This record gives sequence, structure tokens and C-alpha cells, in this order.
Amino acid sequence: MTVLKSPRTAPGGSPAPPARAASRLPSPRRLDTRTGLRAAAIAIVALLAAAGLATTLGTAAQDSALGHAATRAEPLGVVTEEIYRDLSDADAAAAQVLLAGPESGTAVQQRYDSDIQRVSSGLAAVSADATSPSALDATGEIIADLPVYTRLVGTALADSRQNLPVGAAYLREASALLRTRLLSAARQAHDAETADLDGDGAAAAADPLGELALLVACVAALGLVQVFAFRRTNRMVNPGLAVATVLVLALAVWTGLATPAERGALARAAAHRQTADALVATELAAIQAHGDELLGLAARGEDLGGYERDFTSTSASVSRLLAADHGSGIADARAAQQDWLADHRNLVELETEPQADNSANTRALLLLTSPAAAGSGAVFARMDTDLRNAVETEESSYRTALGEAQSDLSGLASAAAVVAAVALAGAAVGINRRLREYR
Amino acid sequence: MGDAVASGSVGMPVRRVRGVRWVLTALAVALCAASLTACGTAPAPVRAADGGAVPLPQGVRTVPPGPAGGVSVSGCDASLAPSGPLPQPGAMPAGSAMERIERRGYLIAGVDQDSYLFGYRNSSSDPHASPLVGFDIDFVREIAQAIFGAPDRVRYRIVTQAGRIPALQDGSVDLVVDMMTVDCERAKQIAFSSDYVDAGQRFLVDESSTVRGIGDLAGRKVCSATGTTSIQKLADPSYHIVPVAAVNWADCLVMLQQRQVDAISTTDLLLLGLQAQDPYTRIVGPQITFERHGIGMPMGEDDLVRFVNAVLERLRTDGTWAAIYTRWIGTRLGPVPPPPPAVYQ
Repeated sequence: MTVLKSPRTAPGGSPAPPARAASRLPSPRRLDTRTGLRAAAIAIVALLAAAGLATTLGTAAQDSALGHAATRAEPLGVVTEEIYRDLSDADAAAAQVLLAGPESGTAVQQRYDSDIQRVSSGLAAVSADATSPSALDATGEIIADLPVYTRLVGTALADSRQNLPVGAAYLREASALLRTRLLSAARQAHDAETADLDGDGAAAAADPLGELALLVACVAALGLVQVFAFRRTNRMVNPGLAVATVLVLALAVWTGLATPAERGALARAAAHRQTADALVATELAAIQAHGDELLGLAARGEDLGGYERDFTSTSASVSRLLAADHGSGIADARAAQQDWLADHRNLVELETEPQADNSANTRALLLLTSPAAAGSGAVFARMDTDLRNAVETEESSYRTALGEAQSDLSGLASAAAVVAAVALAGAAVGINRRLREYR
Repeated sequence: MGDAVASGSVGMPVRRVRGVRWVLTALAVALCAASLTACGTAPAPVRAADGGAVPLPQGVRTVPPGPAGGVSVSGCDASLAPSGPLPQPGAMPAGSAMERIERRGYLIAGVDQDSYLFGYRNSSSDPHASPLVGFDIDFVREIAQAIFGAPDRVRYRIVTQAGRIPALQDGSVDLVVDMMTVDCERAKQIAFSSDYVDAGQRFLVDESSTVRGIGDLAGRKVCSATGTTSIQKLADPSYHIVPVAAVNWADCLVMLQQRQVDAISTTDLLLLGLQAQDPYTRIVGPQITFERHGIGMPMGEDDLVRFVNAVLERLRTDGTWAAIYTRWIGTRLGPVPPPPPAVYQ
């Protein structure tokens, strides 16, 4: 770098003569003040523009990721989770309608109908809002298979009302379709939306190191120019440059403080979501195990014990998941599950004991479906309520933390743009005033 | 360095324009990257899904052609003759299998529960009604009547077609009354009562089907239940049929209604049970087998076999057999036949 030496200008005097003298007799080792100021102007304009643009765009990208998470990805994640839950519940409800037979109240029939309606509106929401090809593919599969499923269930119920054994065969086929194709597509859609949400989280947690480096470079450059201008022109304070320096410094401090706070809120949000996801997995497994009980009773041995085997493995995963879960009301859910397993053993005894008359069936059905009877149906309902409350608590905490992350960053993007613009103007005015003295 | 910047400023106007353009382009790209949707990338269309196909019932498989044959009864269709008149109900001979059952308080019968007309769920909402009804169930009740003097002293255990012989072998049932075809292969594993009803294998097809008999079914899919003599018969390579084995008869009807098989084949009695569930089907073709049906009992329980044969003997002669046949089958397969004669060793 060229050694800079202050020009001996008269204090407060006309700047023109020394500058002309300098330009007329350029010293090979001494930078011309005018050239230096011009170079500084270009460098500062470039740096400020870059820093302003980087901070504005970077923060805007984080804002947009947070906004996408809050308004698209998270709601879609909940919608896909509900599609899975409603499908599973329809599986259990259909078996219950068939089992209840001619005595079936309208309540359980309505539960089945509203499950299917909620699945349909969930599918419409995902089709309209989802962007992930995997989620759209999965949704398309459910849309294609759902009418087949409801037709099979309808046939099962119509046949059963006439006491035709083929009704139970249709129900088994419907349930197999739901459990293989429909539920796996629902899981695929949910996984895709979860991945989308993870992507938003990663984008929102981006490190602002580049932006901070540029901002610091701006402050340094502004400082250097002011030192240079002071030495060459002996002016103590250049108001334009000083304002620019203060503003950029403030922006750097703001960015430096807001980002860690936002990342803290994001980490809390991620923790809540992880807890909620684990609880949802538990709840879905519990619903499937409950469906196994109902379908097993409806199949009455014709499934060759398939539903009972599925109950055993699924309730083992419920226990495992429940042991790892935490959240409000989990202790009660664990207690309910123990009661459920005990009640299930009673139910199996009722089902596998050779039947003397219809009373064993009536009693098994009552244990499974009546909320009043102290049986596995009521205990399942208690556990499901606990789990669902815990899920809702965690999901609402997630949304709160996400909102905090959003408010931590709020205003930063536009402030960065304004600061960059004002600082640019200030620096331009400040340097231009010095340059004009050389015309 | 200073020179370079200074000389650069000479061509400033042109470069500035270019620079502005470049900055604008960069800005646009950056903005697009920041919000992908803003750039008008159309959402991917919902894929023409490969879903929507009607599934098969669970556990269905195609059976490869097997050795010719199926039912063979030559030399093993003779049961044990009754040893005198029936004992009084409630007074079974000491040490007999019947006395063991009597002491237990109920008979354990292995039956089917989705074999319409033969063994199926009772739709009655009376909790004390029999859980099952049908042709086979009536025979079970007659045997309970003979042991206890009460037809309700029965506990029913549901067995699948393939689970019948294992249930007898492991002692989880006293007897199986489930349209079991008497067959030499089975007679090596369990004991059969005398013939309680005769039937022959035929075909159930859709009303609109052009199939009139086994000759029209070459290369077509025909359903039967796993572990039955019917499916063995279908696997005979000379028929060129594609046998499809289902877990139970109702699954076969599901497949016929879904047009996944061209016919169902088993004895005309069981086909009648399926036909009664779907009036848009009909039973076609001559019988391709003649099958005797026996009540299955564990190997070696000779006293029980002789006792059951004595009960059957009574049912044949006192008109009960004809009443049961008329009640469940009637004249739908032709006039009510006489009871099949018993053949004893």
C-alpha cells in the first residue's frame, strides 16, 4: 500500500490549490487525495450495498422460512397427521359399526362418516397447499384409494345387516387396503411435510456470519476513510460519514443480538415439535392397537389370529414409545395403558374361550365399545385423550416458540435496507463534500 | 492500483449502465431464491396415481398344479358300528370319552362360523341364544342332547378349514362338524363318523357367466378354500384350471363379486351357502366328485365314534335328519334326498 502522508493544507482554507498542485505534480509514491477519495467512495458504496443487500436478503430469507413454517409447513404437517389419525379411526369405527349390527346407534356410524369427511377435506388442503412432489403423490394415491375403501366398507355393512358372513370378509379386505396402501401413503405425505418443516427450520437458523463480516468491513472502511480524510483535509468530523458509521455499527449490533435470540427460540420450537412427533407416533400406534381389538372381534377367528398378533406387536411399540414420551398427562396415559393391557387379556379370554351362547360376544362387544363399561374401550379412550391433550399442548408451545423466533427477527430486514440506504446517502454526501473541494 | 481505479473511471458511463443491469439481475435472482413461489414455478400436478385398484382378500395365493386325484375313499369310508343302544342322557358309561365330556359340563365342538346355512353367526340379539346356527350346528346340538339331555350344553370353537385336523389332534375340540369330506389321507390322522350328508363338487359362477361346467374353465381362475379337498381336486393338471386358494369361503365370494376369479368350486352344499348370499350367482355343471361327509373326531376315541354313529343312526330313522335337511337346504338342490346309508367296518 502506498504510504499516505497528510497534505499540509491551510486549516479551513480553500482546498483547491493543494489538490491542483498534487494532480499537476503527481508523486509516484504518494496517493493523490482526490483519487483516494474517489476510490474510497467506490469501495464504501460497494461495501455498503453488499452489506445492506446481504443483511436484507439473508434476514428476509429467514423471515420467509419462518413464515412458511408457521403458515404452510406446520399446518400441513398437522393436516397430514390428522389424515393418518382419521383413517386409523375410520378403520376401528367401521369394525364397531359392523359389530354393533342392527343395534348400532347412529353415533358410531356418524363417527365413521365424519372421519371420512375429515380425511377428504384434509386431502383437499394438502392438494391445494403442498409443494413437495412426494406429499402430492401420496395424496393422489389416497384420493384414488379412498372411494375403493369406502365402497368395501359399505358392502361389508350392507351384507352384515342381512347377517351374511361375506360382510365380515369385505371388512377384512377393506381394513387390509387401509392398513397397507392408505396408511402408508398417509405416512409418506406426513414424512414429506415433516421434511419440509425441517428444511424451513434449517433455513431459518442460517448463520449470519457473512452479513456480520460485511457490516464490520463497512465500519472499518468508513473508519479508514475518515482517518484518511482527516489527515488529508484536517477536517475533524465528517457528519455524513459519521452518521453512516454509527448506523452501520448499530445494524451490526442488532444483527449480532437478534440472531442468537431467534436461534434459541427455534431450538425450543424444535424440541417441542420433537416431543409432539413422538407423542403422535404413540397415539397412532394406540389407535391401531384399538382397531386390532375391534377387527379381531369382527373377524372371529377368520383372520387366523392376525389381528391379535398385530395387537401384541403394536401394543409393545406403544409401551416402548410411551416410556420415552414426556409431556403433560403422560403419567396418566402410562397408567391407562397398563389397565388397557389387563383389560385386553380379559377380552382375549372371552374371545378364545369356546362360546356357550351369545353372551360372551355381547360382553366382549360391550367391553370394547362402551365408554361406561370398565373395559379396554373405555381405557383406550382415556389414554387417547391424555395423548391428544399432550400433543396439543406441545404443538401450541411449538407455535408460540416459532412466533417468538419471528418476532426476534421482526423489523431487521427492512431496517437493514433503510440503514444501508441512509448510510449510503450519508457516505456519498460526506465524501462528495470533500471531493467537491478539489474541483 | 490507484491508476487502475482512475482509468476505470474513464469508461464509467457505459460500465455503470452494465453494472446497474447486472445488479438488477442479481437482485432478481436473489429475490427468487428467497421466495421460490414468487417466480411462478407451477406446483407439480397430482400424479395419475396407481392407486384405486381393488385389492385381493388377505392370504390369497395361486396354487400350482398338483398330482391328479383329490378325494380317495376306497377302503377307508367305513366307520365303527354303534355298540348297542344309546345310553340314557346324563348317564354315560364310566371311563368313556362321553363321560369325560359329561363331567366337564359341555361339549366342545369345532365349527365354521362363516359357512352360510351350515355354521354361521346367529343374528339374534338374545344373549342366551346359541351363538351359531346352521345345518352342522343342528347335528352338534343333537349330539349334546344325547350326552346331556340338553342341546345348549355346547361350547363352540371356531376353526378354519386348514385348522380342523390340528384342533382334533391337539385335543382343543371334542369333535369337528364342519362339512368335512371323508378322505383316506385324512382318515390316517383323524377318525370319521359314518356319512351324515353327501355332496359333489360343482361350480358357482356369476349369473352372466357363460361357464356351464369344468370344460369351460381351462386357463381361468377358480377359487376354493386352503386345506380343502376341493382345492386339491382343482389342482389336477388335466383340468388346466388356475386354482386360487383363499383363507375361507367368504373370501372366495368376495373375489367372485369383484370379478377377480371366474368361479368358486366346492361341494354343491357349500356353494348353496354362498349362492344364498348373492342371488346374482348360480351353481353350474355336473358334480365332478362324489363326497361323503363325516363328523371328525380324534384318532383312537373309538367309544366316542361309536356313540356319535348311534346318534346319527337315530336321526336317520326318527325323521330328524330329514327335518334338519329340509330346514336348511330344502329343495334348492333338488328333492330332499333320503339320509345316506351308514357303512361300517
